[in-house]
Amino acid sequence: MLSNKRSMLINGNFISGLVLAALGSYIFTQALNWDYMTIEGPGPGFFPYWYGLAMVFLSLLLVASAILEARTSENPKTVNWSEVGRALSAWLLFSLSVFLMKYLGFLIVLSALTWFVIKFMYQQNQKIAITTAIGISVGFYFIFAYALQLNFPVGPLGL
Amino acid sequence: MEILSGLFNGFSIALQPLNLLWCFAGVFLGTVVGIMPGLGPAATIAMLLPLTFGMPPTSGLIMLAGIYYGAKYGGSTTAILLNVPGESASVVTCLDGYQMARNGRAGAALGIAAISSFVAGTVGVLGLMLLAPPLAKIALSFSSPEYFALMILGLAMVVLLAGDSMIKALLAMLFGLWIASMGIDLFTDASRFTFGSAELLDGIDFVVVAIGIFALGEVFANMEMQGGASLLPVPKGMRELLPTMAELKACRFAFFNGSVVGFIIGVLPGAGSTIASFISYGLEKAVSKHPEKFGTGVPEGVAAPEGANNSETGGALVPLLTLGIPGSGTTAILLAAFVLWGLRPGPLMIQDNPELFWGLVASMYVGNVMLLILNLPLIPLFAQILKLREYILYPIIFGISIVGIYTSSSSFFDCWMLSLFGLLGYLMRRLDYPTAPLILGLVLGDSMERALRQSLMMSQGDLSILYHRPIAATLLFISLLLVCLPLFRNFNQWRIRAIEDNG
Amino acid sequence: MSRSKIRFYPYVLNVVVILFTILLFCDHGFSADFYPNRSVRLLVPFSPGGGVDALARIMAPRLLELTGVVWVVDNRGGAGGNIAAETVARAAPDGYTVLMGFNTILTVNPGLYKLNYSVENDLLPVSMLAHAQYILVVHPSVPATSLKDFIALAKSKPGQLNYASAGIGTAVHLAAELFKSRAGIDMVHLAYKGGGPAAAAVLAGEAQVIFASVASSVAQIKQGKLKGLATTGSQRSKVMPELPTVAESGYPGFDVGSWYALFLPAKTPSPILHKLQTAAHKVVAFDDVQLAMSRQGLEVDVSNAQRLRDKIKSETKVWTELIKSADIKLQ
Repeated sequence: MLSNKRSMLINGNFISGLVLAALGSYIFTQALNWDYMTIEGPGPGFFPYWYGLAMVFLSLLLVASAILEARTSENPKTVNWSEVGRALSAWLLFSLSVFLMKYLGFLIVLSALTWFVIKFMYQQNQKIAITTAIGISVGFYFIFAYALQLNFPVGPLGL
Repeated sequence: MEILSGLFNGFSIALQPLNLLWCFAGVFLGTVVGIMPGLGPAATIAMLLPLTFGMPPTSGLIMLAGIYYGAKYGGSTTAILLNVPGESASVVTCLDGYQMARNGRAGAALGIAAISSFVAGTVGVLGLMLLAPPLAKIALSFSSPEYFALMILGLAMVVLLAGDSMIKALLAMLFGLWIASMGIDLFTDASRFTFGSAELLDGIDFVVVAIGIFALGEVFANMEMQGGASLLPVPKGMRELLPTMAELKACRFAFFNGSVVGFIIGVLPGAGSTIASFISYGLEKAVSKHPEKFGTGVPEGVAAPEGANNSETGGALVPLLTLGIPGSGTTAILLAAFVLWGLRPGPLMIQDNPELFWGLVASMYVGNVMLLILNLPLIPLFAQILKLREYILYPIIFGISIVGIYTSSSSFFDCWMLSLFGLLGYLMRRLDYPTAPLILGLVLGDSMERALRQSLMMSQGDLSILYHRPIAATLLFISLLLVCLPLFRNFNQWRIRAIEDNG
Repeated sequence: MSRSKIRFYPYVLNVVVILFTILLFCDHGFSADFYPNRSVRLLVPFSPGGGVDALARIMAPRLLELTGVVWVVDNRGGAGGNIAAETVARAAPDGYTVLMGFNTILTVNPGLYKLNYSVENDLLPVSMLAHAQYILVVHPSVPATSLKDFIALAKSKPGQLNYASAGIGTAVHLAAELFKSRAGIDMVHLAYKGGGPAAAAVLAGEAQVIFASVASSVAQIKQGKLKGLATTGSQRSKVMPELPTVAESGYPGFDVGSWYALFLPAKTPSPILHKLQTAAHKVVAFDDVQLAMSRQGLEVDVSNAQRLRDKIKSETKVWTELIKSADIKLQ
């Protein structure tokens, strides 16, 4: 377990380092398009110029140390993708809910999301899933919409 | 003597039954909006403004101020229980508060937050009462170079917030700086990193990032495994619900630190309560005997930032009442209220309206006691939420996050950003990047850039303006010390090891 | 399983049809005779706090009295107010979405932003509500007691005086730019995030000059913390009548201020427009609305829709030209 996490970290450092280096160079090149100095003082490009450069420098340092560590540690193992998969699907589900909220309204989407999480991601029985889904939405309605008079995204049926 | 008679007069106003009622209404509403993410004191005060229009200004002010400082009490609740910062100022409370809850000390964390808020809130009022006029002058002597130095001091805190890898902490901070610079440049109207999107012209709201990274990122990470592993130990019985004597003792310095740092930073209209809580957290960690335990759930890590963001309200009222300068959105609305009541905040306001000033001060003493009495019994009630199974808790956090974001801006775009930052928060956890430095960079980046550029505009490009002024120089020197701190520690450890090896 | 599905569908279809009918009915089924019969959304183009918001909130309960329905104040800040204006421009023209317009949104933003709607074609002016003017204010250390002195001073030290503003494209910024170009002087612009920090900068002497609202600077001027030199309207301010206007001091036609007006989506039927116009004229007559306005330094002004339209046209021209000549850009 530990070595598993460790090897993934090294991999992760390598990849995230590269991604951040790319972001840093993007920031830096963008900064070159804006004035670095104006007659009145530093321009809009001044700040991104420096933190972009710092980002490139630090992320390359991270990549280098990841390579060094990968050399010294013996055969790296793979990531536990099923765990990552579960987390990413939870995120996808959340994003899908945000998308659907515009059309179906907040309460319906929240019930559906709750139901899906309980039924499929935690594999509880249908009764728990449905009662909780409805319970949470009713609770949200009473606390936020009724008692506090906040407005949610509203779908058909005015919910 | 003048102060005593003023205070006596103030209490005779604040203790009138009707004013007591307004005070209670204010602190109660404040607690509610503080607990609920998405409802802020600013919007609430704005909503109640027409109501207070017909009231005597003193009563109106007692109630509106009650909402303002009451909200700071409530903000810690969701931060500790769900890792959802209820107000931007409670972001720092998430760091140790949520970890305490995970260790089964949710009740203790909430108790410490309430007690620290009470102590610091009271100190803040004391400061407002005793020091308001002289401090107002100091607030004005804080110009752009001083703000720049203050922001640098804040950014130097990153060395205290870093986990195992300093490189990763710095990278997270730089990422925060990048997000902070999105939107229209304040000076030259260039739009930066907006990717052609009109919604990004105003930048990304801080709360969206904070809730995404802290709350959603944590939930996604916890959902990696199905059940079991991450069930929170639920506090049972009164003893586990309240802080122990040992925990309170550990917070002694934090109460003091939070109160003082919060008040001083509150007086500066260009800083704000999030910066106050970051700096007092950093200070607490810097002087601590066990800095390595910060972030794993130490009571001082809750007491210091909670104290700071409460005494900040007392401080923030100083420039508002004596100069008519608001330092935040909430105080700006209070200023609008003053104008509507026909009062003109300025150097003479306290002299011209003693009953208003002293009535407010006295009501804040009363209000802080009310808040403590109101909040302590709520702790066992709120701690019950941790009894929920995780598959029920997580959808609730999803719902609260969306409500928190959507109701404050009515924008689907912000919800999309929330989702994106949730993913980022998860990836950062998975890849072992500390999240606090990102928030730090985001909070400070904008103000730091502005202060730097404004200073250089003032001096026509001469850099010496940044360190030739005494306050700025002192702050920069402290920052330098702070950055060198880990080097000293490493050196010390290396020295000890070397001695041991030789022995 | 499949059988139950087949039986299920017609039922669902029925529900959907009924729902749609209800929705259609809600949207278009009522004529102006019934207007208003549900709550009206009053969009405020800024986040809570500040003058526009306060005025809207004082007016809302009075509008309820006048129209019999609730007026919900809805703050939609962002993009210089364009988001709120665009929301109204695109809303159904049924009178239930009203914009609390602020002058810069309608007259400055068309020159400053690429708008996704047209002020002229998509918004229907209902009525002006109030207007106010600014005061040219300087730090007491500035050795000038009149506008003439000040301009002479600024001419002798080009680029050495700083003026503060609440941000690029705000009314205060443009007022100062217009003044610069009319007076032929050069001052450095220091932009702050909002009016509060900008005011603080002038009090502290970090910037020496600002065009401030009457309400926020009167106390400071009376107590000698700031010096007022001139007001910016076409007539002297009622609050500080001792100050001359910029226009009467040798710059005729200089008339800069803020104003508030109500707008509807362009295609709103005229019976609804008339109902709202009547309500707008009545609402400013209430004592508390007038008191709130005068304390904020606002003067009631219910000029009719045509004059409002002309005002927008002429001011838009001035600002658009200024934005071009001073090279102010946002996107």
